[in-house]
Amino acid sequence: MTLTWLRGLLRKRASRLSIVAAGIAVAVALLGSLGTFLAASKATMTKRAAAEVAVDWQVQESGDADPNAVLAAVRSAPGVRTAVPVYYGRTSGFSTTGATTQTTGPGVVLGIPDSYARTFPAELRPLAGSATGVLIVQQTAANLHALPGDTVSIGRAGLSPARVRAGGVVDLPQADSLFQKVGAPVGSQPSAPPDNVLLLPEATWHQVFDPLAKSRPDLVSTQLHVARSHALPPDPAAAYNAITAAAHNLEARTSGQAVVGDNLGAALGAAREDAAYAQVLFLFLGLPGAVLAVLLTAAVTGAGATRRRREQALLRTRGASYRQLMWLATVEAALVGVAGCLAGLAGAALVGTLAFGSARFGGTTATAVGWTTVAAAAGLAIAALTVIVPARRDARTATVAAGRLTVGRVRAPWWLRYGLDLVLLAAAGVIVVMTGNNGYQLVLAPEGVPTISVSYWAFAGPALLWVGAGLLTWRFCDLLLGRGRRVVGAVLRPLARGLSGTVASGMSRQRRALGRSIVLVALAVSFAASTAVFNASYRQQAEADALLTNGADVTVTESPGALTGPGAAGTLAAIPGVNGVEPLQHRFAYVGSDLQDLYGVRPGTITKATALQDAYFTGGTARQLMHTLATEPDSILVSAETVKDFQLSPGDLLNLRLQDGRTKRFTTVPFHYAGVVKEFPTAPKDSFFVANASYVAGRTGGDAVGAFLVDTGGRHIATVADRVRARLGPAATVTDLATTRKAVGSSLTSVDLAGLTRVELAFALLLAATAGGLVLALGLAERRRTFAIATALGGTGRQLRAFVFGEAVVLTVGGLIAGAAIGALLSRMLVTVLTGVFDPPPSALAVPWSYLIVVGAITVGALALVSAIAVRMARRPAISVLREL
Amino acid sequence: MTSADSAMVRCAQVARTFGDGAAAVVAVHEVSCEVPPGARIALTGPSGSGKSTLLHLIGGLETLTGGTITWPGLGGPPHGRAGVIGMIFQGPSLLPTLNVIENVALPLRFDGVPSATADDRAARTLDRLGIAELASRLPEELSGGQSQRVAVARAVASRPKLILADEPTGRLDHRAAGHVISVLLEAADELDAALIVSTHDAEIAARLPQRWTMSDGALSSREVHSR
Ligand SMILES: Nc1ncnc2c1ncn2[C@@H]1O[C@H](COP(=O)(O)OP(=O)(O)O)[C@@H](O)[C@H]1O
Ligand SMILES: [Mg+2]
Repeated sequence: MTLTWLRGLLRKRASRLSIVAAGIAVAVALLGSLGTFLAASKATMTKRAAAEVAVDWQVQESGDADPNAVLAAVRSAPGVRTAVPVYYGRTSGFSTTGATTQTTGPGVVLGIPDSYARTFPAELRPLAGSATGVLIVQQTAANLHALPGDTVSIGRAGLSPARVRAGGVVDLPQADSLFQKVGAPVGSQPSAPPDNVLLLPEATWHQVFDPLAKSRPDLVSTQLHVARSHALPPDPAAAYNAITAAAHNLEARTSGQAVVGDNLGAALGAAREDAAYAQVLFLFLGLPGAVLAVLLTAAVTGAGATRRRREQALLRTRGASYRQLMWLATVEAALVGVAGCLAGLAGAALVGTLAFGSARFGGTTATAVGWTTVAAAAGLAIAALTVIVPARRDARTATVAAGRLTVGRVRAPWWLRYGLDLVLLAAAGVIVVMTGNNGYQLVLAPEGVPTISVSYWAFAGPALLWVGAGLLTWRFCDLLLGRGRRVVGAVLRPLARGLSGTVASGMSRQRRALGRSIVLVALAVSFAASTAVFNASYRQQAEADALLTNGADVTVTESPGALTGPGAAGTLAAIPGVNGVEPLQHRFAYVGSDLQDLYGVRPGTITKATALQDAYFTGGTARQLMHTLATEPDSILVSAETVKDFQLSPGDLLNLRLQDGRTKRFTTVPFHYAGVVKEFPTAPKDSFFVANASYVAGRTGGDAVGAFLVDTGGRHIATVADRVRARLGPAATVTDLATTRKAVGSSLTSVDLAGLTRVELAFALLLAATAGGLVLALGLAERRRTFAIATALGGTGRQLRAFVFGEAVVLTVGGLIAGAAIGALLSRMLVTVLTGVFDPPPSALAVPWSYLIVVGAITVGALALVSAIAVRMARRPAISVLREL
Repeated sequence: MTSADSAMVRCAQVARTFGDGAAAVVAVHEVSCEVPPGARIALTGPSGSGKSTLLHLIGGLETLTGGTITWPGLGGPPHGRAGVIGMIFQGPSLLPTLNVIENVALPLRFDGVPSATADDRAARTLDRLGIAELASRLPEELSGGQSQRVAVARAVASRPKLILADEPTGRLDHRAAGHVISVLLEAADELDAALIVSTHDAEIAARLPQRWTMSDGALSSREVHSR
């Protein structure tokens, strides 16, 4: 009996079964590809975090430790590739004697083995001269006006200075971790690396510092710098746990003689936080898509309910038992489930290949297999849910009479009567307010704690909004098609003419089905819209972050102490490809005893080379505050912290001490507080000032510029940067936006999200179009009989179109309007709740109009296509249609 | 009073074949007949003998594969003229999303009658058939007999000169069937319309004065019996 049934099923209901399988396939493909993608990006985050660390571990020996024993213990620790000693010696200062004598304050002298640069390539960046021998760090070289080949004196407390010959100039990109206080908690780390640093070959260091070690052992210390194997678990959290455990293990085995400065662990700790955010994003953006696919599938099986009930009744009369009916339903579910899973997995592989060039989304085979299994299991579950469950319900309860009641005077659903939609919306609001009180902290990853806590609770806000707004849409449809059917009739008059009233009352009787369809379309459209807006805003902010960090398309940073005036902008402006150049003063200013960066801008023209978002400021828009700086040159923008520390209110006098260009002495310059600045191009993340450049220049007797912001119109950035570099030589540092874009921020950068975006936007588009087309097709298929009767009663083609298009128009207009409204609300809420992933937080949402227009157009197109097909099918001789049904 | 020129419908060698080749089914085979005004014809024959197909051909709802049909008494073919022929289909044929009065008014609306007038005429028809109280019910809220009476009302509301009823009593019990036939006959009398009722029930057929019998697609006999 099963086989006969199956054969009949395949022959008679092939199209419906394949639609159900397609719905399952979409859900499986979405889950499979997003999951694999998530796993793959987590692995990328781990790899990247590890690759960015110059020295994995810095092991500090305690004073009384046996250096050889510690070295042996470190070298034999599992996972350690190389460990070399690095010596730290404190100097009272450096000096050079050329035409004039230059001296510096206290500093640090490192002793490194010859192999150091090869083992830890990211730690040293050669700038000039030789890459080995005695190396001066750039800022020190600038302070000493020293060049390769010059002789530098190293001051030693209580001893005579030692003299060495500089071989080259280097930069220390990771100076912060290099000079960390190993073992000290984050709060008591030095606020900045030492200003003056010299690197000596190991042997030279011993010659210089061994005498000092005897008299002042407190001024020298030894660290072991460790390169570990980077074969880590792919998940950042697991990798973090593995590495911190290894570090603790080493400390335990040396019984406290060695303390591990775990740079790799710190990087992985940051990465695991990003990974948790990626997971949240996956949930927020991926799950609704899968839910939609399930709803669509359920709509298809639901639309076949009448027919299924009829079949069941027939089988019953032929003596089939309840169990046999269930068995047949199970076979049907297995059939569509397996077909859907296979198609979905093939789809996921295709998506992977299109979006990432590999079916594994760049992940490992294990993660791909894992997610394939999860997605397939979900697919089978959906099949069971949408096929077996309704069949079961029908077989249990349905009588023929109940099956007949499909239109008309059914009571409003219980949730509508109890106002569930309003309850859900209110709950969504409450949750958002609650997460807001928590500062939208979705991910908590306390340092040193192996578990990371993600507040999935916040997910409930948008989820409830989505569902609640969907139900509210249903309520509106119910109201409009019920009480407001005259309005609908009037709207349809141009289309349906004399029949508009009849069409409207017909629709009002099936407002339940129509409402459900409108809600499905609205949910799909809103999913597409909010995903797109979220992604566009994320990209906008990633770009803003890169621009904040770099300052402009190309930024020229003068060496500290250089006295280049704004006039040099002319030289830069002459370089081909340069659109405009904007000088940006960079000074240091004392406010009380606190030293902060101060940026002097030309308020009228600054935005020609960089972008200022309103979100960077409080107390006015970017434009207003720049206007204030221009019209009241002594006004100043300060950080919120400074406002709090000094209890400032607008207009208050703020005296800063700035270095005078002529006397090099600090002089007091009066400013008036005009607003708060939180972010500014090239500025650090902590406190700083923004003021009018010409006022600062006038008051300090010097117009030295710290940086030039070069606008290239966004084109050929790397090329222009190279030209600028060639023109200026090593005198200034040239950075470009293209490079910064890749480097900035967390590992949750545009590169990672771009893939997610592509996959999601494609699925969202597919879902929106399918939702529209499918629900209309199902609705019209249910009413093929109606159309046939209408034709047989003498309805003309135009009159028939009034019925079909009337429904299509209501579905399209209702679905798109509700979808746009829900989408707008949802995007706003998503961006608010997910503030944590934005850096900086956006002042305005980015709306990707072109994508949204495509979504709208394709949805309308799908609906129009289905209507046209329905009209065409209704033209078949009505009598044959009636016979078949 | 039957004159050839005033016949409602005239069929000459009319044929309808479904499908082709080996699977071809000849549903109606070279039928020639004439329906005079005021005729009361019972179209009988076993199931599958071609009754429905012939009625559909006469109603202009089915295309011919042979012969010709003309409608001299109706002023030309009924195509695109809703309500010229009153048709009652075999099986349920009310639009489930329209209530009774909207269903009855539908052919009038198709014919371009303004909604107020159409509703008014539909209401009067329901009244005449004694089912005015059903006006605002939905088809799913009607019994089988009620549904068929509404279908009759819809067929006659446009005041057609020819009424074609395809097994209107097929699914009804004895009493309800008798009632529906009475309603049909009364309506036909009132409209002075010709009436053809297909049925495979001899008792129903006996209520009409003329009987045409079909077998295997052919009109095998035509008889008039006195009432
Ligand atoms: N649309 C159709 N397609 C194929 N065969 C048809 C179609 N309509 C009728 N037939 C066949 O034509 C024959 C006559 O059918 P019908 O006119 O419905 O007979 P009756 O109404 O007397 O039962 C039957 O064999 C039927 O199967
Ligand atoms: Mg028949």
